[in-house]
Amino acid sequence: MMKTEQEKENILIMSGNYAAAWGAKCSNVNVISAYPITPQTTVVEKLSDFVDNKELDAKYIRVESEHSVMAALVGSSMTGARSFSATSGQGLLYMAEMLHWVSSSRLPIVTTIASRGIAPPWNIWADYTDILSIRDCGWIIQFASTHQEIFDSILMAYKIAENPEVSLPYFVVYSGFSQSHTSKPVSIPEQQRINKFLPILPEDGWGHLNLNPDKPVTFGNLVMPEQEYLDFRFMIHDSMVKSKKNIHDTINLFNQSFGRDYGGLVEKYMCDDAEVILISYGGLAEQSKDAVDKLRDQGNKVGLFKLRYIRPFPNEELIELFNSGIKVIGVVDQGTAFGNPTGGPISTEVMSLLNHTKNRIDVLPCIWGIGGRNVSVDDQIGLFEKLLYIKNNNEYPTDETCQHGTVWMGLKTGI
Amino acid sequence: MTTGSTKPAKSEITFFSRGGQGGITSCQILAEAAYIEGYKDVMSIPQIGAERRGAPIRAFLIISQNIIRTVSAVTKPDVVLVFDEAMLKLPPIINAIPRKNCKVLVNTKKLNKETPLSDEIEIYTFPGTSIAMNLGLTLEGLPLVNVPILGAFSKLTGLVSMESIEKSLQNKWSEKAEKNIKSIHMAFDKTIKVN
Amino acid sequence: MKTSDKQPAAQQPYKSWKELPHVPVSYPQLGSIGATGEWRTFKPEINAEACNKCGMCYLYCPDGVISYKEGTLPEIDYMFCKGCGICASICPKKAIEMVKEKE
Repeated sequence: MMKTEQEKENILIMSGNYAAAWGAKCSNVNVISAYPITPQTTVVEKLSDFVDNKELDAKYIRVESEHSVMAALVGSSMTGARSFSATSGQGLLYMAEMLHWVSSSRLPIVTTIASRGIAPPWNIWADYTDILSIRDCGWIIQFASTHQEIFDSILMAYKIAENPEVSLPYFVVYSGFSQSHTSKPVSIPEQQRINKFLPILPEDGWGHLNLNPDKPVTFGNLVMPEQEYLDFRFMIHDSMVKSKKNIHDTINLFNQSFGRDYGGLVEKYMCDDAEVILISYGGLAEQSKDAVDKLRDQGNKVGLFKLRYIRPFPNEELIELFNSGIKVIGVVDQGTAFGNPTGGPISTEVMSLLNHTKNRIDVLPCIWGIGGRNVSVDDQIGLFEKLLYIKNNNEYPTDETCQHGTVWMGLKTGI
Repeated sequence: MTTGSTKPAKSEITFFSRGGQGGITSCQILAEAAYIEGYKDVMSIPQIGAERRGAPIRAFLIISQNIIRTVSAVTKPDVVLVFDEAMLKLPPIINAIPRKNCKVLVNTKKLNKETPLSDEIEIYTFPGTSIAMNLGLTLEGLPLVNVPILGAFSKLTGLVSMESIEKSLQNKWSEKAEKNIKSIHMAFDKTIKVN
Repeated sequence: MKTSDKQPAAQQPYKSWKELPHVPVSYPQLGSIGATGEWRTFKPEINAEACNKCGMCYLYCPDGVISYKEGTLPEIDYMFCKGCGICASICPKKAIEMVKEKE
């Protein structure tokens, strides 16, 4: 049985950041480049330890900024090397130009993000505004909501990203401090089994691009308006949308190999007969399961719809949800999008799919937990109660935390 | 020692220490010990961000018979460990200690009678500083009570056995763990309830 | 051998995005955008008697159409020389003259 196989796994109590470092190590990465930034720093520390102790046969490239980090990895990945980085907040934003270089070069680089607030004012705690603000740069974006998922996701990330049909870079995202610095048990399978799961690196680089001094090529050429620029852009979008199949296949293969099932692009919790659904992502979404359990115990038909991926966006899964008879949804962002139709980017995107259903569904967008603001299970129950109020009274709540149609949970209103 | 079935489904422990006293390491060692003990899930939550030597630092530990899903702060701890009696003069710390349903352990030879702790909680003390000094458990001359305090914790809660703490210490320091193991037993023996 | 002994490669137009590779890559080939010598209005001509064979024109030519070996007279490939005049401008002996192309 799978159980005996699992027993061979080495369980260590480690921080989310160490889980990311272990994920990179066990993925046999060839090149690492990263610039330390709180709360990502211990990923870098652990990886440089691994390289220094010869536990990991990789080249660690030290550079002076995050922009150079990604520039260095563009070079390494173009030679067909498995490349890894990790960053956070301001560092990710500084990297932004090179992120487009990576995706438009179709390079399967994997990078972990310990998401944090954007300064000013300085804030180093959980806030996904960093990753959300670069969500359209052509990288696959996956949230890991548990420590084990951080580790497992990196193995799957390389499998998905390096698939020649996909050939896209991949972000594994988790929250600063509440995941990066807390420690939980993480199961590390035997390396031999991981090696069997990982894709085989091609000897001559990626099929579409191989930087080799013996076979010179020009890459990043000028393309005139009437030439293929538009077509290449379309192809990135096309590959991103079609990568959903590879993601599902990889999740299934991972489950067969290691006995942990991540379901798909979304995770549904108590959704089957639910009338009220909360849609969210990240560590706080995982915590919402406790809120759902408590409300279910009181007889409320509530459920949680956790987005694991936002790029590609789980359109089909959401449309299926909209057609399942639900009455009210709350969509929660742990990040901001100033001036957006709603206060958060993902609630706007979820609402853009509502025209695919003929059912009347009320939607309440919400923003919570930004800058590490504490969100307790009771706070989450409070949000569900607002949704239940909408269902029962057919009107939206009007308390002071609801501003411009979005609930800003914990907004100080003087009341 | 209690058996798994009689232990509570979930316990939350708060560590109050000062920067440099090893409170976060202590939290981590106890997390591992609790996992060795057989709890299904553990989570250590160091409250870091702007750490400085001497500044009050909090760390939280959740040990549970079920999967832990929360990422929020611990606000109603079942057990509070205080590394330094002087910290009880700080309002943010005294205010964070529940007024009932809580066990508080303070590192002191004799608890100051004017300490504003509620009468409805159980208060324990242990002489961690002298244990650390006697055994030479010091860092740059300062006594380290972060390991002895775990022996005291085991005595007053029974949530994690001494054997599990020993194993956790051995995993961390292998043969060098000897002095630390001695310290937890000394603390275990000298932990007393004061109210 | 002069580079212009080979004819420039014709461009390969794509009809559909489905035929495209993931990224555009150019392989080394002769004159990928055609015989650029046709762009020329003024033609550089080397005065063999004035030339000191220093090779500065070869170093500065932006299109690499001047071939040169130390101690020999440089040679210009007129199939790809655009007539920009940089060689004439840089020549320390003023041994290169820009001559108007005949109609």
